[in-house]
Amino acid sequence: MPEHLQPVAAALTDGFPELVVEHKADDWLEVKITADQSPEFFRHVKEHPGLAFDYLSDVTAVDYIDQGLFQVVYHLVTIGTNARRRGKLRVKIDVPRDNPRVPSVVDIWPTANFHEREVYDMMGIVFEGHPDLRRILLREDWVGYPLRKDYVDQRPKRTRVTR
Amino acid sequence: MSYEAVPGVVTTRLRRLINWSRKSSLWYMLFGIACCAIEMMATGASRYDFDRFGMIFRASPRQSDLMIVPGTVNEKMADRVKLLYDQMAEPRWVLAMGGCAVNGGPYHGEYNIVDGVDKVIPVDVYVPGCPPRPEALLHGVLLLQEKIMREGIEIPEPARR
Repeated sequence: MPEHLQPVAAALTDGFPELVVEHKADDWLEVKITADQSPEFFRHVKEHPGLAFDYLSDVTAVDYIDQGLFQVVYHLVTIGTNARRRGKLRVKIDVPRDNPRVPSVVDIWPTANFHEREVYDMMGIVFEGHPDLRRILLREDWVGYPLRKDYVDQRPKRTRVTR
Repeated sequence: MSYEAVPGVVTTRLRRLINWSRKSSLWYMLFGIACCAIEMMATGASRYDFDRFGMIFRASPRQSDLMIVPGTVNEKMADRVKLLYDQMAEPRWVLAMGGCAVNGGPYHGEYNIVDGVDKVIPVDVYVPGCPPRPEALLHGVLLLQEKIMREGIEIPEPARR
């Protein structure tokens, strides 16, 4: 791990001693947590002075169907001063495929509102505590979650319209 | 509504006048869905110019004759496209611009994609391309003008094959 990221890694494990911080290419630090740890961990990440990751860049999810789980991935960046030296953070949460529930981070980073709605729309992962969890890209009456690997399109066939 | 000529009544000259006036002043709706909208704007701009054909854009469907559908129509948008088409007053025509509006294009068969806008509204002219060049779109418009000139004109018996 490069030198300038070591204080960041130390601040991450401060309060979460069993956490493993990996260093990936391009100044990314990667951490795996559980869904129960999520609310306090994210608060810690935002409010700790040595971390202060104030910009949630993305919330997305991966479908590992052969392992039977979804992995929710958060990308966190800081845009304050010293942004270059503080690195970037990727947080991964594994949830079981048959009941995917994750606490929402909307009260910490309001931008998560739309990101979590998109993940819910595409993968069916329920974000607990989200103020308005409904579909955002597909029609409101859509059945199914298209980006799951076992998704089958069940729309009735449309036929050509003539005058 | 049909534009067939009534047998025994001479409408040729009046019909030709009506057709000519309709084709020469096709006001298209300012309706851009996706990337093809950029090419439609480029065609409407100074180098390729729709205005020399009498075509100006109108933002409201109630004031347009032609709806060019530039871009991918997905399930959510399909309802809105139908709504706008229903608000157009007749005579009205539809030009499907670009692969996506013709048959779904690069996204044919995908979830949330309607394979071609003709699954939602009746289409008169199809202009393929991704996106079609302004010259191609103008060609499509000229084809539509020829189609309009043929409307309501009954083909005389000897010429029919």
